[in-house]
Amino acid sequence: MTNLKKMALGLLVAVLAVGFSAFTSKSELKEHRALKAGKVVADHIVQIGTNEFREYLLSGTPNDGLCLTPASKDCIYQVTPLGKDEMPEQPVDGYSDEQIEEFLENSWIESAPSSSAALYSGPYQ
Amino acid sequence: MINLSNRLFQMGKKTQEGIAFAICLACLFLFALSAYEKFTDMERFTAGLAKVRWIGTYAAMVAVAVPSLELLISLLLIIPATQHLGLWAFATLMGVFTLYIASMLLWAEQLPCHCNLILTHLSFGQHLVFNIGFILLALGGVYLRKKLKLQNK
Repeated sequence: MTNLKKMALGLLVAVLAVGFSAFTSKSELKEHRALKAGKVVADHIVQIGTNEFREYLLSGTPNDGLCLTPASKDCIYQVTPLGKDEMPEQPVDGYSDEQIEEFLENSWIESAPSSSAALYSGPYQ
Repeated sequence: MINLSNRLFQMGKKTQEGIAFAICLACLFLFALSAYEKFTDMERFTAGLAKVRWIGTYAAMVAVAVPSLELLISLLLIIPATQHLGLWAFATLMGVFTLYIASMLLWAEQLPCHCNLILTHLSFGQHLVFNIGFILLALGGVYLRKKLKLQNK
């Protein structure tokens, strides 16, 4: 194979990588736009730090095997259909302990079946 | 290892060249994808880095440096004359990423990862194995290219 052909193939692979990324990012972009519009979009909330809960913005469900460090609150919460309509937009620093307690009282969220009291150590967005 | 090396010696020159080139393309795909995603979502990448204890202060600088390096290495992997250097650079940078993940697994309470789409769904242990696999692949590419160069002399 000539050097020119090799270079052309390399460029093609680079373009493919960018195209692949742009194509698969579309659904996430939609979710981020919805977030900016003030709606809760995620089906799950994960506890990523003490007093810090975040929407799980990736496709699929959070992996309970990544609930590693013990904590006082649950690692994964499911957003109920009522919560989808009523829950406020996620603040910049995530939801707080108090907000999570309020959401639980209002039945806007519930502990995920396999969740334990721990911090979620995996990626969430 | 000796068996694998013997098999490689039995392979035709063209096959070896093809494998070495395919390795370059695989590494190029990974870094081009990764650099593009970091540049297009710089805000999120910087915010994530800012939370890491040792990087926090330099988050803005690291957030630009990492995808820039990935882009530069992608360019080295595209140009045939610099592919050998590109593979070394790829293995080195992947080594740094692997050390970062390993140190996070050992010492950090939270494990922030702002990886590209392929890796986002992996656990950190799987991510570590993935990285080590790519480092070995790149070093295999370096070995093949060196061997081919010696054969051509």
